[in-house]
Amino acid sequence: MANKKKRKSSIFIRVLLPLIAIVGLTIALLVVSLNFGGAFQNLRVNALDMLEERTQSRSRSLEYDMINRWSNLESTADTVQGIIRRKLRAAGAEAEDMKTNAALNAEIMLEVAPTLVSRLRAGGTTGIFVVLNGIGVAGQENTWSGVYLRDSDPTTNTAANSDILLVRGMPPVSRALGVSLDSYWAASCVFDEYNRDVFFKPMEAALEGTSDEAMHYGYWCMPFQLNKNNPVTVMTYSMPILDQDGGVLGVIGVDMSVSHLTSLLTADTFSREALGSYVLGMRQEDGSIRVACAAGTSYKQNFHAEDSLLTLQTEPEDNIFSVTGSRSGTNLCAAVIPLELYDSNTAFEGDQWVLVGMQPAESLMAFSRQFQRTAIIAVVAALLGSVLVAAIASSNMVRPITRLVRQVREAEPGSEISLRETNIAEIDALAGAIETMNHNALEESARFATIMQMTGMRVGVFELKKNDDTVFCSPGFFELLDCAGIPHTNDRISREAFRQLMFDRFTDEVDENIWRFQTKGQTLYLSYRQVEHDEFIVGTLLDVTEEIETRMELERARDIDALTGILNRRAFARMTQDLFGRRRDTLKTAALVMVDLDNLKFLNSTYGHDTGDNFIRAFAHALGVFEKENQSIVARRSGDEFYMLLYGYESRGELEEHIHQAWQQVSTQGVVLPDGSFYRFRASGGMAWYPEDASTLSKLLHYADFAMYKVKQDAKGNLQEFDSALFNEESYLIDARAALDRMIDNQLLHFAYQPIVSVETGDLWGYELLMRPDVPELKSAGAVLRLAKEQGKLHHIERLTWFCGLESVRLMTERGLMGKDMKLFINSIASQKMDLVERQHVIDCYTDLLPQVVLEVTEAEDNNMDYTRRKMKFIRDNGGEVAIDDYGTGYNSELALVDIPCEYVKVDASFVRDVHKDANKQALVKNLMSYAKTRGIAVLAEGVETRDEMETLISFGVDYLQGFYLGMPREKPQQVLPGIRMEIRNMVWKMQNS
Amino acid sequence: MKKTLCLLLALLMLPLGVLAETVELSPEAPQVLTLWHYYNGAQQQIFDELVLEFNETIGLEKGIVIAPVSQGGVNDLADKLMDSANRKTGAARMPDIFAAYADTAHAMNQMDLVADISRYMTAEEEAEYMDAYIQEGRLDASGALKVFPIAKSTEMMLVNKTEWDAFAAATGAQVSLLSTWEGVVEASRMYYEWSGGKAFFGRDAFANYILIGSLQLGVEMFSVEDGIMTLNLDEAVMRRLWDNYVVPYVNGWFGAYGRYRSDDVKTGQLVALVGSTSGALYFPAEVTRDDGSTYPIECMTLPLPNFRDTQPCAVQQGAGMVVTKSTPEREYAATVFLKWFTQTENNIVFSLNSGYLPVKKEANQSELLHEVMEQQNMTGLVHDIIDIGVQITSSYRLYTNNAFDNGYEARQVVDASMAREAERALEQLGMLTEGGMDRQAALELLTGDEAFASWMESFRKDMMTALK
Repeated sequence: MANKKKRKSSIFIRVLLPLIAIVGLTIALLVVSLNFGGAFQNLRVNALDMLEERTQSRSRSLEYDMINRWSNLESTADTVQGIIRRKLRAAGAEAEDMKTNAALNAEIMLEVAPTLVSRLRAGGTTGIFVVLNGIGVAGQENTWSGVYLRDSDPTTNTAANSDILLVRGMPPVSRALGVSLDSYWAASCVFDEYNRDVFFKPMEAALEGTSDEAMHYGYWCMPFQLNKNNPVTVMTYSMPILDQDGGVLGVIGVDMSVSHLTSLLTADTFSREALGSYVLGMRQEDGSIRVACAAGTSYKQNFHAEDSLLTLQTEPEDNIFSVTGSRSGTNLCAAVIPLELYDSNTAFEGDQWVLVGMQPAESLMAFSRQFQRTAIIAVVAALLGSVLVAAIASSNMVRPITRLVRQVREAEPGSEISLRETNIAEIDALAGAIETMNHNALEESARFATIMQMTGMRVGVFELKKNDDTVFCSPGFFELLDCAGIPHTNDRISREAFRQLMFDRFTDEVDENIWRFQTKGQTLYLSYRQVEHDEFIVGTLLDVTEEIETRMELERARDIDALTGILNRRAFARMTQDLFGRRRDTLKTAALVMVDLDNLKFLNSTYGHDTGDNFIRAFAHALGVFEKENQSIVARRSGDEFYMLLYGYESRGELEEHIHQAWQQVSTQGVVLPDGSFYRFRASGGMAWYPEDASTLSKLLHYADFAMYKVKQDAKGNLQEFDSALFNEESYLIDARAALDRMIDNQLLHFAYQPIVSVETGDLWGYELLMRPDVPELKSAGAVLRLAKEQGKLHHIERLTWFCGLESVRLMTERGLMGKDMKLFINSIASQKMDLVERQHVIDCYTDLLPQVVLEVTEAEDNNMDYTRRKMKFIRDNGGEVAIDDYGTGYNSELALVDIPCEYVKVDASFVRDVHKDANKQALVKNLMSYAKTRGIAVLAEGVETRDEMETLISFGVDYLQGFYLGMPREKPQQVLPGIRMEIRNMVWKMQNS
Repeated sequence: MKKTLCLLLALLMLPLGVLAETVELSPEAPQVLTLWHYYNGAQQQIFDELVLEFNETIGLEKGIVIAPVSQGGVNDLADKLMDSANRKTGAARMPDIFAAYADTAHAMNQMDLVADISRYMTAEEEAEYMDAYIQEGRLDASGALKVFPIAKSTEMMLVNKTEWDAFAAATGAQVSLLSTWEGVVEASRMYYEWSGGKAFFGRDAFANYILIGSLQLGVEMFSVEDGIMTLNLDEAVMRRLWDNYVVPYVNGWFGAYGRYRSDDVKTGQLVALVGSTSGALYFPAEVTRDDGSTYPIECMTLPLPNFRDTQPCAVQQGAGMVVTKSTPEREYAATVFLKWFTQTENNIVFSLNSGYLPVKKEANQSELLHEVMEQQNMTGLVHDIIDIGVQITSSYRLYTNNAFDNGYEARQVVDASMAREAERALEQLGMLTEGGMDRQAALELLTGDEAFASWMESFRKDMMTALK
């Protein structure tokens, strides 16, 4: 009783609670998916990644400027060294004399000064200086002779050097150069504790060190002021000027004023809108950063200029820190990227310079916070709104029902009830039904028995009550089940007898709730239904034999193919589904065979469709040899295609034998054509095995179809089994084709940049653009080309090479990842032309890039050099150049070199591989070199992977190098490693001196 | 009804000029304003210090960050502005505030790039500034204030006192000689003879000599009314200018060696110079000889010399600040900074540390200046410079010509023409005497009537070209 009471609850609650539960669940899911799905976390990490990436790219361009532009002083140092030596020689003096002879030093510096002006103009620095290791003013011990020039704004050059100031140097230098004296000008250099490092550090390092390369002692100095009160703060790079004997003649250096450096670092929207800052500084042992130069709003707002230490706290992400000690208490995130300013094993490599990108967490996370806030508001609003709506809806629904209940309850029993309308269709219908029911109830019950008899329907009923040993069964029940012999009294039989009866008779269920019985030689179909209550079970039996038989007849007709009289496609589907579903265990070993007539078209067109139909009919009949009772389904699929499912065999061998024989038999049969000739059946068939090939019907169908398709393609008239290896290969091809189309349509590719290095300078000289597909099915550019060629889509690839390649270059250049003077080697496909529209597009969009382009030409196998020549002309007309690719391999050999005018020739990687060991390869390269030199063609070796290969190639005089040893292809253009640069220089030096 | 009333009130009050616009700013999203100036050295230092103070106090409170950028010299700055204004490829964005002389400001105003500062100032506020400076900032007939005065300078004479004393003791020359141009020529001649052929005097900013000299002698060379300039060239006046510069220069009494005359004093090539008060701070404490050895000197500051028997007259120069037309927030923020920067105490601090003269009436009173100087313990050179500066401001006629079309080019001609002619003549003198000509005859040939007439003709021609 208690249970029942509990289950009873009002509709209001029943409607309201689930609604609220659904809303709650949805919102909980939303919240959980946002939280644990990582949406918030991802937004945060993305923001941090962006900060790191931005800083990284800024650091890369800064590093490039610092190493390759500002501190690139070697040649100036050489010139200065030459002047010093010459002046010493002319005066008959030694380096040692500079220590005492101030007049000589002044004379040297007067001659050195113009060199410094031109370097200052070219170098982009705010200052340049040379300090001799010699006395400045006669008789004044601690003075050094030097010239120091400054240009506070190196981005603009005014005529007649009016923007250059002399900071240090004798008065004659100022007059000779026509430059003005700085406010804090002095004639000679004096060093104190603030500025001594600039001069003494590189000099002392050179005196102690063993290297004879001055740049190994180059030193980046933290910002300082040249003398007291001088407001200009500069950071410097200085390196010794070495004498031939290893002595130090002086120091040469450049300065960058902190204010100019600041403006260089500030120049982007990062600082303006995102309140970002960049800090250049040096990492201290305790991990804090000594600030050299800081640019940007968030730094200015939070740190005093004199706050020269930045303390960082590690965050979980790499390279990301939070900055402590900000003045306004703002929480700042920082990305710290180390700058590689020094080569390894040089004097000051321990100084770890870093670039810090800094942004207030608030502005960095603005989007993520906003998202979080909006999400919370939305969730709360949705929750409140839904509960309210649910409550209103539930109460609206319940009110009329309550009223109805009251009316019904208050109605006089026996009299007609009239209920008030609620205007809710369902409830009004219920009310109407109640009225009608009330009206008809008695009448109906009285009429029922008579009607039943009149219909002649044969019905049987039983009732099984709890706690009752006997079961009530109506007379019809006994009659239908043919159990006159079973003892029963007063329409009741014992429980045990009833159980036995049910168990015995109900054995053959042909359809849901339809059972088949064999009674007196007749087949009887009975529909059985039962209703269960807690206290009793009521069951009814209805004789539906007539109905079922009619239906079966109809079904049979529907299952038969009109033309051939065998099963049709639908019947096949239904029956096989039944087999693979309910009756799977009867399948055992099975085979799905698919057959297709080979020559129907011929017959149809030669003898007319009647003959064709006749032919199909005869063939369907012939297929009868495959049939075995309860072991086969043979059906026509469509037109001249047939299916057969042969099943229930114990072994594959047995079935194979059967199929073989049947196929043989069919092959010998045929039809007589209208012209009297005998025409033998010729059909192609494919089959797939159950369960070896597949266990599902759809797969079996697919495989058998595939096998048949292969037969029709290769050798008609055969029956072949499914070959899974072949299938996998072919289906790969189908997928790959789609992938290629997808790649072309959506431009799913990017380019990798492989560095090309100039042997002469050891510096980066260019990149080869290598296409990389971004679809997983296509692994390499080679795969793309092979497939594209097969599919006739090479032209699309050529287009993508030009458009996407140049667009990628544009992007890299704009991001400052690539210099504007880099050569760009582009692999054009020889057999493909560029039409006028494409050429115009390239000119419209990339005309500024074209002078950098080097077209890589391969002599094509189909020898269509016409397109190539036109492309070469196009590139040359726009300032670009041409290289012969893959030199030494099949198509591109000496003949190509004579034939095709070019600026560069690329030696194929196969000739570079182990070139130091292989005399033949050496001979080829040497021959090429001597020929190329006479023609003025530069030689580039690709595929350089080892130091030995590089050394051999350099010794042969190769001009440019490319290969993994010098740099892997990368999505972002990489610099040449400083170590490699040194190696190349050393090799060149060695070669020139041997 | 209410709206119309408000509108009416607004219309009534605007012409009175008592209504200064204010705009709501947000400290959380500060307005970051770029400011381009041409200060270097000590001037830049004190400017940056003041900006920092602003950013950390009023700026932090109101949400204004000033980002100052030094663009080198005043000409560099003008060139860069022109590039930005013309949106040249690679040019920087226009700054929010920039330092500019009247001619540059005039050019920018022609391009409709300049904000009207008076919108953000009451009439009382404007009245606190020296009238002449405010007048100079009203560029066009509309009367709108387009250039905000922040510091001015004029010219004065600086003398190597140590050398002068030795010379005076030997020859009896009087300091009073140096109060007139004719006296300066005479003193230079005496020094040349006494020292055995060394020059005494030199000057930069040559255009000031011509323009101020001409005015003093009764002719305003560029007279501008309503933006229309009338060119006045008087041969007699020009001849007097010629006689007091070209003649002593070719004789070797005046000289020019390094890029600036201040450089020549530093290296002992000259004894006296005329230069801007703002450059006077850098007068050296020692002279450096060509071999680098040095000896200490003292400095003597004197007012700018005048032509004999004329009314004293000196140039009024120094760039003002111009606010670029942008959003009301940015324009307003810019004026907040400029007003703060020229508050009396800040104005004096900047002036004293940079050699400029204050722009507020109150700040120009010498008692107040002296008070602050004593507070800050300023003595010696700065003290003298400010004294002379205030003396000139109060007793000289301060002059600067109004802006006009092609004013910059015309000034270039004035600046270069006579000075270059003097240099050329000096060169030719060397050649002629080497060729055997009598020095006196050669001097007459190179500086006499004929030479003057031929220069005058070329000067006139150059001027016409510049003004075209």
